[in-house]
Amino acid sequence: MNDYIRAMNRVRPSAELVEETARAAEEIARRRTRRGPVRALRPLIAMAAVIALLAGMTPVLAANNETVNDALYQVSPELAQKLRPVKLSSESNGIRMEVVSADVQGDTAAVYVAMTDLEEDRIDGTTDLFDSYEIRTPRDSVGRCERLSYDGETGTCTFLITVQTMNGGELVPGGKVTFSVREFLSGGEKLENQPVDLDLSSLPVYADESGPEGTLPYVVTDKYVTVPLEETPDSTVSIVKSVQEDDGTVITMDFMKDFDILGGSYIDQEPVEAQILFPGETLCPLAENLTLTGAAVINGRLHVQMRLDKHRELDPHGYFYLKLDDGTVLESRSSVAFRYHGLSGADSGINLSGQGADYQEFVFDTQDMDLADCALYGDYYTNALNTKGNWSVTFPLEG
Amino acid sequence: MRDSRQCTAAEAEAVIARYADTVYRTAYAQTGSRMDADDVFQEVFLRYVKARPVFKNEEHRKAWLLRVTVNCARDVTGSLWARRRAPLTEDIPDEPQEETGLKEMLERLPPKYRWVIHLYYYEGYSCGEIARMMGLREGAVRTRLARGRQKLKELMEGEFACE
Repeated sequence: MNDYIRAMNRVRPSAELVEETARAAEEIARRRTRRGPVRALRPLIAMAAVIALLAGMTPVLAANNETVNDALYQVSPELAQKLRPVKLSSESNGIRMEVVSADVQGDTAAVYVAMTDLEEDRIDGTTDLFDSYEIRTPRDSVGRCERLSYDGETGTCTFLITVQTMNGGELVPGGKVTFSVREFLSGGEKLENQPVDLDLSSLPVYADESGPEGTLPYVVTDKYVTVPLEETPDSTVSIVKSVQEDDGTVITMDFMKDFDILGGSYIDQEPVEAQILFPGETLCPLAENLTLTGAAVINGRLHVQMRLDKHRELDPHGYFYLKLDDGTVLESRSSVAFRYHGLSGADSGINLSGQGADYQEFVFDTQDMDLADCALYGDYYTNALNTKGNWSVTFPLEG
Repeated sequence: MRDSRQCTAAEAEAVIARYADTVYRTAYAQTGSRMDADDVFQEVFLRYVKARPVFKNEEHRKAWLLRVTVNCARDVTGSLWARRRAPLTEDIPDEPQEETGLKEMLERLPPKYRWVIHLYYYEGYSCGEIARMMGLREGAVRTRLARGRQKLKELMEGEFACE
């Protein structure tokens, strides 16, 4: 592997390619600015508003006013951070966050921040900032955060924030970094290699049937839907909203109004369609906030569906896989995550209308297999607690 | 760092400058061809400017770029045209010896292993980070990595640096 690394280190794009790409990107960025007069004006409007606000305030008030500073950051991050006062400690909801130490070397600053629960035991070794943190840096530098350690005796979790200049130059002396956190998860638990109590050989079996007018781009039954997907420019997928037939007829996917595709994964091939079981009642509980809600064979492929309760609050998630009699492990070929707002199942009578629940459906390539030779297993990851607060520290970058 | 401003020309240039090598090497690792890597390189950054995604921090920006690079490169290696295309006799003039060996190795390694090998061994991501980046189960990444490593070992027939 060292040979691979050494050889790959010598692979670089040509200067002409980089320049050509930068010019093309510049042109696109400029075209967007010209086409979007509202967007082009927004920074100017924001600046005018900020100036108007600042005109009536002293610099200290402007620096301490979060609303003003937020607005200023959108227009001039460097000025916003310059005006922001140093604040090495922050306490909210009985939890203290403080800057422990900082070290600046050339283009990189490493800052250690600790969070301690002063009142309860909400912080533990599984504390996860749940992507709710924000790092504001002076212009032309970027930041990242990772959990380093947990001290059970003091109930303190330590994070490392790394700030680095984008161009490799020295960090701006006197520049300030603000690290903010709005919520975090704890009480994490993982359950792996868990057998699922499900007889795969006795599952319902469905197959798409074309209608009298030929094969449609979608299928709707009372048990499942098959819909075409499209890949968006940022490589996510969404449901195709409408399809135009050869004769000009436009078919809209109105029946999918109760579904929102949240994401998916596809191994080895592009996502072309999603087949989703209409969510049903509980088949069996899997873990805290994770429930098996559907299992069937569609066009020879095994579909297994789980519901993720309190998904946005506690981020429960999991994965299914099959174990064959010969010991082979078969992973899913694809999965689709979606939110469902409609009735749960055709006959269940459970009405989730308006509430919306999150699901994930896993699909296995089992067309040439006897499901009697397979067993379903799952790995599950849950969190017990979501703690909210408003923690924010600002520290100077000094060598 | 929440980047809520639209992507200006200067910012696009800064991102290209920062991640040019990373994107290009990942594209080359997957396609094994400079010609294809050039196309993927342009496609990735033009998608970036068009999509103007919002990132919370630099980690997310890099992960986004790598994910799009792998997906674009996989489109190239998976296309019927790519599979049927005969190799050029002179893909790169004056190609260094080390790069010739790398190119030959990549061509012999099945495409489905290339990107995970590259992200793990060259970019230094853990299986969990790769799984999160690509929207896959961590176990799936581990399995693919193990199989790719075994395949690479067979190809290289030499001392192999393992974890």
